[in-house]
Amino acid sequence: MRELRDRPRGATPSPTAPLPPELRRPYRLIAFDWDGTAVMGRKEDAGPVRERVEQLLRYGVRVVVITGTNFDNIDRQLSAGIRGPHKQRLYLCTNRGSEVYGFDARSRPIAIKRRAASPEEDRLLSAVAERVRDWLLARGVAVEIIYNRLNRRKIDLIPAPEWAEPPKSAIGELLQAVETRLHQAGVEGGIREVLALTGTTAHELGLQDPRMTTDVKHVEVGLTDKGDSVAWVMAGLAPQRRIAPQEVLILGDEFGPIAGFEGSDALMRSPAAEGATFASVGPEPGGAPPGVLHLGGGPPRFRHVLDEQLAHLRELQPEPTAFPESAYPPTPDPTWLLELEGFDPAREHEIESLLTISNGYLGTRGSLEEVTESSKPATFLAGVFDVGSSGEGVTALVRAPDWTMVCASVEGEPLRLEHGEVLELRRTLDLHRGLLLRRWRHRGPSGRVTRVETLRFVSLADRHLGVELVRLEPENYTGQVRLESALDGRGLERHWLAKGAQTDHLLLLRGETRGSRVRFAYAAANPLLSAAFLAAQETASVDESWASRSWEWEAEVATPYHHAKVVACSTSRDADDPEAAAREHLSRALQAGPSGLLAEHVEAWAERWEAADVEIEGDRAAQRALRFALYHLIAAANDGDERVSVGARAMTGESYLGHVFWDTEIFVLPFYIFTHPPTARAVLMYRYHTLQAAREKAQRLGYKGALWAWESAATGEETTPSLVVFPTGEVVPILTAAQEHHIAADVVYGAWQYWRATGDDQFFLEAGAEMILEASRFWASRSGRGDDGKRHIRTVIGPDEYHEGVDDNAYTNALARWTLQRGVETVCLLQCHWPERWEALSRELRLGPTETDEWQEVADNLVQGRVPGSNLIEQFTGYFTLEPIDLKAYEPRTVPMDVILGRKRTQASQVVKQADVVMLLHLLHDQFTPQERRENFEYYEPRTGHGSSLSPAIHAAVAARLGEVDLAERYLRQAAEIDLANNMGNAAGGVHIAALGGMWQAVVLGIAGVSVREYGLSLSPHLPRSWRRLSFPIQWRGRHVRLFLTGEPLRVEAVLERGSPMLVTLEGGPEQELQPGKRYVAELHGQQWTTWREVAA
Amino acid sequence: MTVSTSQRARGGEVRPAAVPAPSLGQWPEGWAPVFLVPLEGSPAGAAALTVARNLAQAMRSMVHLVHVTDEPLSESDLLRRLGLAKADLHGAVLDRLAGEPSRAIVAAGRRMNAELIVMGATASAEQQYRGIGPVSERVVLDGPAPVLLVRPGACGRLGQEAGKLTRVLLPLDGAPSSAEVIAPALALAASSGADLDVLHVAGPGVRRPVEPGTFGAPRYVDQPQHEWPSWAREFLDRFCCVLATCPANVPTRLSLSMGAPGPAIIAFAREHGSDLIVLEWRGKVRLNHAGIVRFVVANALCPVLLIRAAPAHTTSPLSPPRPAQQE
Repeated sequence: MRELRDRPRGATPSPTAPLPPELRRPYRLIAFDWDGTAVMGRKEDAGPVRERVEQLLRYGVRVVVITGTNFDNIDRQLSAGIRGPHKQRLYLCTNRGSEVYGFDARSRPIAIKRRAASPEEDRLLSAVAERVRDWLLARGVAVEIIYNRLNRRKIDLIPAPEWAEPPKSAIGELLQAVETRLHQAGVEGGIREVLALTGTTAHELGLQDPRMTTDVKHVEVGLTDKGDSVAWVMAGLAPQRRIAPQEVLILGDEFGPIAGFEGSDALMRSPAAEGATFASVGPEPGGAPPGVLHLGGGPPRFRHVLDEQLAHLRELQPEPTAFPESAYPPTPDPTWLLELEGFDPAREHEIESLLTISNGYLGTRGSLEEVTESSKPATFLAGVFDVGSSGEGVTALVRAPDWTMVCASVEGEPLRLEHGEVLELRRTLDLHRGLLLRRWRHRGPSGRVTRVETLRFVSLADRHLGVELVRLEPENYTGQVRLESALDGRGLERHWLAKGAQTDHLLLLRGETRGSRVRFAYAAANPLLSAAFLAAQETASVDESWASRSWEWEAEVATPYHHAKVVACSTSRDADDPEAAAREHLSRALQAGPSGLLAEHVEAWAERWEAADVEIEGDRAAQRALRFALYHLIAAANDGDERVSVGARAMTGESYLGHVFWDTEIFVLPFYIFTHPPTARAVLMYRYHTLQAAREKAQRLGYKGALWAWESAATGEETTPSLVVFPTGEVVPILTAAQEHHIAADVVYGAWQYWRATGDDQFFLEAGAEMILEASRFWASRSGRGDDGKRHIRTVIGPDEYHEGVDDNAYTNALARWTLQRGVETVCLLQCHWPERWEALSRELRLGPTETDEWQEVADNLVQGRVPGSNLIEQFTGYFTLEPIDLKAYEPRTVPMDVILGRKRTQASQVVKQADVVMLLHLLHDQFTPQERRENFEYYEPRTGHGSSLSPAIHAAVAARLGEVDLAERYLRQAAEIDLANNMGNAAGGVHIAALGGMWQAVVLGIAGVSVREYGLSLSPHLPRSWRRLSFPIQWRGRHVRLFLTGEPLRVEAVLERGSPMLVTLEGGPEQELQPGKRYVAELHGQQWTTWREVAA
Repeated sequence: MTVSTSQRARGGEVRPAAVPAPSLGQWPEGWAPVFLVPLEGSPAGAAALTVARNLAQAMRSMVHLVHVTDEPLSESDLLRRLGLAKADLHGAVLDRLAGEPSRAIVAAGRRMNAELIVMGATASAEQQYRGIGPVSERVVLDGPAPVLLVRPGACGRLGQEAGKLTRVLLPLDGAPSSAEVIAPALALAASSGADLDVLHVAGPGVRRPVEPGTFGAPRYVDQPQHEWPSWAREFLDRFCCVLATCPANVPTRLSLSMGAPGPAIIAFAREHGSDLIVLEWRGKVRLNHAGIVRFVVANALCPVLLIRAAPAHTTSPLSPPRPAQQE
């Protein structure tokens, strides 16, 4: 004591001096004395301690305060300032071992343990204190008894005002004052004698197991002491949390003797604490006892110890980031959501398709994370094809390993839909944020209720990344939870040679396709989101086609646990070393963290929606259906990869084998042209990169130029299966590859529309022109001169595929002529504006001097199916002579007409599979008079069986432009039901991306009637009666325009949001030059449009 | 509460067990299931007995014969009335039941925990248009087990001495609830080493069930070379793997027929030599319901197994968008 008093200040060890080796490792439970150890006094600001304690709690460390004082004092200084689930790991052992407090999930204190004195014990405590007091009084020493302490009495040996609250630093002076006082009264033994007397008295009066302590000012008699607190920690808390004694650190400031008295913390060194580490930050004037590390330095040193602990924890794992809980609730507006309640195994495959998350590089079906018996999980990597998924040797987009699998078990019971009771299950595709969310409450067979929420996305900001977050919360139990997170390539051995691996922090799955030899690598990490995982038992498992990591920990009731999985993927299509590339993507991702990745992804989606969203007021079903369509369209393509296109089911299912059809250019491309031109360009460049295969196909069939494959995959070679066995047993040869040649015009149509709408001359010069010239060359060679002197294209299949081998299909011929005209125009443009390019290209393609003339001649003389004296166009030669079929007589009907009538009769009938002449009216709208458009639509519409999903949306578009808005609405609804109705079953193999693209066209090109003009855009709007407002953005040659349509009367507003002035025209009405940032309005009064007028923005 | 595959419904709901779950083929080891064969002395009854014996042999079941009569017949009179010789009772049991026939048969089936009730289809001329007689109808509706209806002269291979199943025909309308008949059909096929023909019938006028998850022939066939293989895979996957468990040893084929379902089923069965047709009956008995079942029973050249299925859910799991708060 004297040494303390005399110790010069400079001898105090530096708070940040190196710690002994025993403290250079993390502890899972840290218990410490409060006064003198954590703080110097009760009035001190404990903020710095609280901050460190809170961080430790977040890391999963259990923190126990062991103090002689009551709960309120410590709560006021420490715990009241801590809130959150991590507070459940904080414990206060107060009142010298008599009480233990913890905190519930809402941070409210809960009494865990309390020693309550019996009335007799209470009486005896007072009796002991009073007898000692009387003994001292008899010797002239006035003392006071402090009664209001739980389970103890304090005898104040020096109740003088100047010694009312002596600081610990003044203990030397205090000791001297007390001893002097006692000695002067004849109590020679001083404090020691009073302490002994108290003990003797307690025994004499019959108090069982009395505990005597002194802090020099007081002598206390009680029923408990700090040893009881430590006993609870070591025998209760630690084993319950599976914490070994070696993982416990106990800190105090008075373990050694003080002036011959046992230090107040010496009682913490109870036998129960054997194996724990003890350290003292006190001065320990009598020296620290053996087994106690003496650090000295007081509270600053104590804080340093906590800092070091945190540093060790951070070394092991990055600091846990509290994942924003606000990420889980979906976007509030339900028209941005596709919500599916419950679990219907029968529908699971189609639901998985609808809920696919995709970014044009990675596409992952919305299968349940734990994979049920009815699940069909699949991830697709754009452009990764292999031969023979169904054994017939046809190239197919192959399933890649599943990166989403996460499964859990509770006390050994698998957490699965099939085991127990599903209390709640809702899956939500958040279209606005590009997220798949799941909310699931499940009661296991043993009654344990677990709440699970998941959030999944493939990043639109970095297309190589997939992120999955899991929030798991035990609702009514505390128990062992096991979570396993895997990269799963099992069952894919037919296509992949894959192998799992793991490093300290990563899971890896590497492999190669068997046939096409595309190498891939997944690298996955699990950034820490919940500190519980630190304390969890972690294991890894790797195998052929499998790599997983699992954690097992004791999950506490009402405590949410967050798990994150970040997966990076790369293939030899995009990197020489896929593994290195995947690791690099992952490394960057981990720096951003899950929250950062989510923010970037949501931002990327927001940007796309800003340029694409179509808002419909007055028809919520149409609004949601359209957003569902746009979501999948945005998700389907990748502007960063020119060597892939959009397959018929995008990357949402295995049907159609990932093959690319004419659907892409005619149905899907327009959406990209007008909302995201870079994507449109990339999709068209796929055709340019497959031009050589198209040339070869044309040559193989005996033609010149280029004929793109009817179905193509990675290389552009023809991949159409040669036959199909119908479920009726009939074997049917597939003739589309040999006869459905309109694709050679469809590609050019797409390229020309892109160039016209964007003004991307670079594309035209580098790719577009060459495609146009090669296609023109094909059509010239494909046509033949007939006896009538006309040009004919014989033995083809038009969009109406019910009629094979027909001559002069109207659609084919019209598009062929249009292509030839564009070919001639292209030559003129090149010669006039880009003569160097013309020279190079004509040399490269060996264009003959008369070839252009031949194209013009063919175009001029190609049969167009126009019936003399009529506005009707005959769909193909002889169509009008075929058997008319009243389609209404076959309603209600759930199958296509060719199935009902049989192929033969269908071919001999006028039943049209899908928009053919009507398609022509849609694509080449300006080439027909209003009367021709109406008469042909009215003729063919009742003859069309809509046996293709491509048909209803185009009928909606054409009907809208004819002003038949009710019919347009009906067809639009039919198009939406193709994927969204719950009993069609069509979507199980993937969504119908062309039908979804057609829906956008029906609304923007049909209902709003947008057409591209040389000077800008023209509009011909017809708003459905129930639609109060329609608005959408559209791009034209770098300008961003937003259009608003309202009725009645029909009113159009146009705002040029970005870019230089441009013209907008109303069909049959006035035009207006839009100035940036200004808003212009025109209204339809009767049949007449008013002139445009500027209104306030 | 454990939710079985067949009971599982949306949102963890469990369909009420209003009808007994078909359990053919799910017996504990060493347990001989009972095939209950009500006889009335008619040729149809005799045919039913032959069929029951053949099936029982394949499935290692016990045949329990019953006759419903209030008359005090001696044993020999009873045998005589039923046209049975003493040797016919070898490996079988014959009991007399009293009371109204259908109730007595149903009660006996419950008491014996019968796995299958094999009955002669004895519709009178007057009832012929209904296909099924009133007693059979009540037993199908109220009975504890699937009912195999056997018309005399239309027993196929099963009507022959030691006749075996070689092809089982299972028409499915695509409704998920119809999957409940798959397990018994598969059990019968598996026990005899028979093939299973799954048949879906589509055509004008064939209404698609409104049950969510119904998977009929595709409404849209964009490209037949892809659509049909995909559809067939999905159909078999959905019904034989997801909604029921298909044993690997039963060769299973999916076929599609066009036209009215009853005639299409009969035509298919005749063309492919089906020995047994397994049909689901959703329990509607009024004259204008169950027309397909009645037609098939009346016209099939082989026995027809009728299995009652649970009522279907009709609500859509695709939630319509809720009204936005601001509206």
